[in-house]
Amino acid sequence: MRIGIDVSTLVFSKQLTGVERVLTEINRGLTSLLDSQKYEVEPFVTRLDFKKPEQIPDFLKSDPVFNKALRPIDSFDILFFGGINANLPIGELMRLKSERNVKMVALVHDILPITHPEWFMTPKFASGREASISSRVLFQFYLQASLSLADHLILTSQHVKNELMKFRWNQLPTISVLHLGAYKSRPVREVRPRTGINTLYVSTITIRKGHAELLSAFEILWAQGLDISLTLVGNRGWQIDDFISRLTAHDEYGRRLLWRQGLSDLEAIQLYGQSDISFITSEDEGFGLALEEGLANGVKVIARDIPVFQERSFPNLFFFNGGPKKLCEKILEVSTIPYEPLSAGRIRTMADFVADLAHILKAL
Amino acid sequence: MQSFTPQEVEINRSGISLERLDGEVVIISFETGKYFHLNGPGADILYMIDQGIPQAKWEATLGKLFPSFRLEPVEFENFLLEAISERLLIFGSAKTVTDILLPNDYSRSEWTVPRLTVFDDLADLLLVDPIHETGAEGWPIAKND
Repeated sequence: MRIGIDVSTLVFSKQLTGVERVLTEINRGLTSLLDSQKYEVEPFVTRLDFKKPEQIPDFLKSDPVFNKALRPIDSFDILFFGGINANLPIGELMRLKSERNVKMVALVHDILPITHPEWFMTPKFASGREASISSRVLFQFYLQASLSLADHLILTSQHVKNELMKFRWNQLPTISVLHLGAYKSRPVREVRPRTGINTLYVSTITIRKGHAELLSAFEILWAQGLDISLTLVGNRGWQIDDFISRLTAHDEYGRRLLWRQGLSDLEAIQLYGQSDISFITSEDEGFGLALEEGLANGVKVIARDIPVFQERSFPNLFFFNGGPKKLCEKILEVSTIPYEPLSAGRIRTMADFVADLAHILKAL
Repeated sequence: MQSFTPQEVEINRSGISLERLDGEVVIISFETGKYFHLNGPGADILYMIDQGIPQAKWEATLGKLFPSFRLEPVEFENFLLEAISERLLIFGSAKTVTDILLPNDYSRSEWTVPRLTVFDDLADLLLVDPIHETGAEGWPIAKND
């Protein structure tokens, strides 16, 4: 049985974030989980002009699938599409399905450009020419193509499935909800003398992530005289100029309010080890992996009380509902609750996700 | 003038994916790989065709929803012929439905010429992680570095 992995997204990737990270975990996991006597896992791209870069980025150098030779799309029994790629040879794929019964599985990470178009921008072509469609319609092209082709659709949360079902679309494949997980389970606390409460928010800074509200909550805490710090870890996103100005001009900036960009995984782990609480204050997510990452790294996590986060129930996970004042109260409350040590395997990992995915692939 | 009525054509269901969301229709042709977009009046016209409402009855429905409704024959013929040439519509058996309610999924105001927008190469646009892999302008604007 030959399983093809669409690496079109990885071919164009320059850094390990978001979808790329999930894809590389899938490539590693499937290679080790699937019996190599029965399954060959190999890469393909969906357009002939999609070529691997001459200089492979560091994060892809050890990817066991990406570094194999690309194979033609018609040489597989199962095709897996895990990136965001609507450059699909739809006619050829339909022919493969009907003539050779090739099975297709698609992973859709979220549908935010459709449910929250206000968070996204008007599309432009590489030439700079503005497209005549909204990002919402553009994303619908990708989503609808994936749903049309897939025999099995993987969504990463029940919340996304619920949102998708509201569309009442005609062509829906079999759908499975598989939660993602932390990259590695490593609940190891750094033991060192510390003063005050250290907190952390790991997330690209964009308007939907709730950074402004979080900072407002901290302003209340600092005004109350609490000894607490907030470190934001993440690159600057979009529609966020006002917040960046507010952040960098803040009296506490560089003291108890820090912003770190471009951290390595090791540096991020070290920061978790120095922290007591991490946040995930997004207004919506397809999944929100920072929740499991925080828990797996041994901190208490305060998450916004939204459906996608409510799907998860873990020790050390707390929810807030409301504005800065409510968040402030929750921080005070959680800071007094002792950290509950975790048993091994308590926090779902990406290995768990890939094992579930492998089970689906084998059952096709 | 067209030598057929909209009642004689039907959606090519086996050859396309067609989904409607909030008054916008996206169609993907399995035969050509092209993507199509219609919104507002175009989406409603396609809905009327799909339901088999005779063209003579359209004004009663659309006129109530669009005060400025006026379907110019030439414009409508162009719309219909393009949809047929792209095999989004195919000739089928005439239907006899006489009245329907249009989906109440967007706010209707001004009538505009029904238009089918075709996209046949989205390579530049569709390879961007909508959450992370973008520049400061946000998705779907890709990073240049």
